[in-house]
Amino acid sequence: MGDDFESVVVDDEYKLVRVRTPFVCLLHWVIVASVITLCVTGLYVGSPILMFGTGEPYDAFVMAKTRFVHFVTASVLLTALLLRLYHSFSPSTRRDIYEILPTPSNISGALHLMWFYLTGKGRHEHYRYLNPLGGISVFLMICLFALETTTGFALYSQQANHISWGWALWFPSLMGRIFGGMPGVRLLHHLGMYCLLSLVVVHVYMKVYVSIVFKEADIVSIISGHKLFRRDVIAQY
Amino acid sequence: MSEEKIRLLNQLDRRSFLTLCAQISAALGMSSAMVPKIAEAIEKAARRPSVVWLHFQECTGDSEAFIRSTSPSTAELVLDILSIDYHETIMAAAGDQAEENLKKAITENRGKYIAICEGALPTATPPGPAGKKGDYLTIGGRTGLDIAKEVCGGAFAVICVGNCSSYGGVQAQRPNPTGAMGVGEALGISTVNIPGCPHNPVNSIATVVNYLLLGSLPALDKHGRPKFAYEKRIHDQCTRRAHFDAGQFVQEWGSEEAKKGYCLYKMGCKGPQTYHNCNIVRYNDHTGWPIGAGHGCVGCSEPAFWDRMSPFYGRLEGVEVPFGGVEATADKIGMTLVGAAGVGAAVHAAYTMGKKRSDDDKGGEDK
Repeated sequence: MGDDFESVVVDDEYKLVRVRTPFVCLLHWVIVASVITLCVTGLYVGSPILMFGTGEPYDAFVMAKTRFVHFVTASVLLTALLLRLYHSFSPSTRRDIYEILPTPSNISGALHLMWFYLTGKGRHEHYRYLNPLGGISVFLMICLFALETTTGFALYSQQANHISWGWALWFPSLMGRIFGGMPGVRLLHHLGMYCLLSLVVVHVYMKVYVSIVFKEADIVSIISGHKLFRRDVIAQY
Repeated sequence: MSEEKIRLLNQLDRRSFLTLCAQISAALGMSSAMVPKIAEAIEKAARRPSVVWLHFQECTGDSEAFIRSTSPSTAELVLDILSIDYHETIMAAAGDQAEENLKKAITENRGKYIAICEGALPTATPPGPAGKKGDYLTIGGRTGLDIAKEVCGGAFAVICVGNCSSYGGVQAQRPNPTGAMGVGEALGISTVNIPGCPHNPVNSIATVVNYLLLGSLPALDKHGRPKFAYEKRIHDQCTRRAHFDAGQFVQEWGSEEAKKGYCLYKMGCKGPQTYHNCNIVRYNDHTGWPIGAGHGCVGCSEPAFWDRMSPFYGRLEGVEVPFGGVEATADKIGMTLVGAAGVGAAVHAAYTMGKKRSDDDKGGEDK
């Protein structure tokens, strides 16, 4: 792994290391904002608990607006995800696709980390970028995002009567066949959201945990792009 | 004017005949200029199309819907527009005579008659030594599968009316003890499906008229349904759609919202997943349809709607949770997942903090 980012010496014990470009940080927060928006609007569309429609339909339009926000945010999310995926593969940036894929070495690394986190025994390997456990969670997240976008666009294209060409014609029927009709697609769209949310819980917790326990400013790195590394562990890289 | 034509015109009430033609033209998406041509096609048809109507596993609801059509009236339908040569419910003949009629119809018009099927075909074999495949339905000593094979094999077209003959209907619902299937699936043939529970006679008649007029069957969608009737989603044509967009929903049966005619989405209406023209042509002589009457759509024109559209009064499919077979909704499963992740994180945090504290107390090495 080439040391393609500058390292700044902070003091005797710590070194400031660049781990992300500002662009990747920005994409992360775009994805976070769109996921939150999509969950809130999606929950309302799925089960409109709060009723705003006290007036006549012509001056209410709550559901229509919520769905509009949901669809627009979905395309923002899709764009951000595609850009991020491109970034992982792109030769001009740091290719982090190998940290994400569940290769044998990643799986064994992830199992070691999991053992450490669950029992507190064993050695905690330090990684400059994604650790294998994080990589596999990201892989799971990508799968879930793929599920959410495909089922979501299948549901969307059902009413996309204005699109009389291309994917809108075959995509819903394909998804319907795979998942057993549009009700199945809808169900998976909901379940996918909950799976994604539980991964978010684990992700945020792990980041907070690692930042507190190892004092490496891990959680700040998604804003600043920099991470603190202790000199004694950095010698490994 | 031929004798036959004069006889026909005497029998027919011209006004209701033209009304029918106009309705068919509308159902097929043609302009009003086509009405005289449709009338001509029906009048000119050298021989009214011979129709053999078969009953399988069903409730005769589709025949009921068919004969309750008022324009055209039952008499016009049976005597003037179609030549219904065999129909177990409305034919006068019985016993051997009836079977003779069927034999005659399918041999004389081989390759030219239209087979209309109503009801699903059981394909399972009953238990016991005497059981043979398809025995759950036996008519005159023959299994439904046998009859269907013979009649549908020689037909110009097979039209399946109702959800049962199209996709299996209620008897094909899990666990499907009789192995019921739609006619097309059971015989491995392509059929024109006019699903619905019951189907709307406007659609079946329009399909036949399409054949009279153009000599071919209408364009079908992926489920074998004529596109003129099943291309549009109920949700997009719904009279209550404005209430959906406005976020105005019925939350309880018999409530003020229900009286105001708000959207039935929260009561489990399956309009957003269902493709049918029932909100446009409507039932019962074009007077009403389920959502108009205040009940949500149950998706009766979709394959396996008993399994996939239920619960009929809830939004998402009920999913069986493997532990203890409890019925839970996606929301419950999801909340459990997120909750479990949260609890796991909390327990882990508490454990780590406790361990750290005790390590610090012991003056253990820094982690």
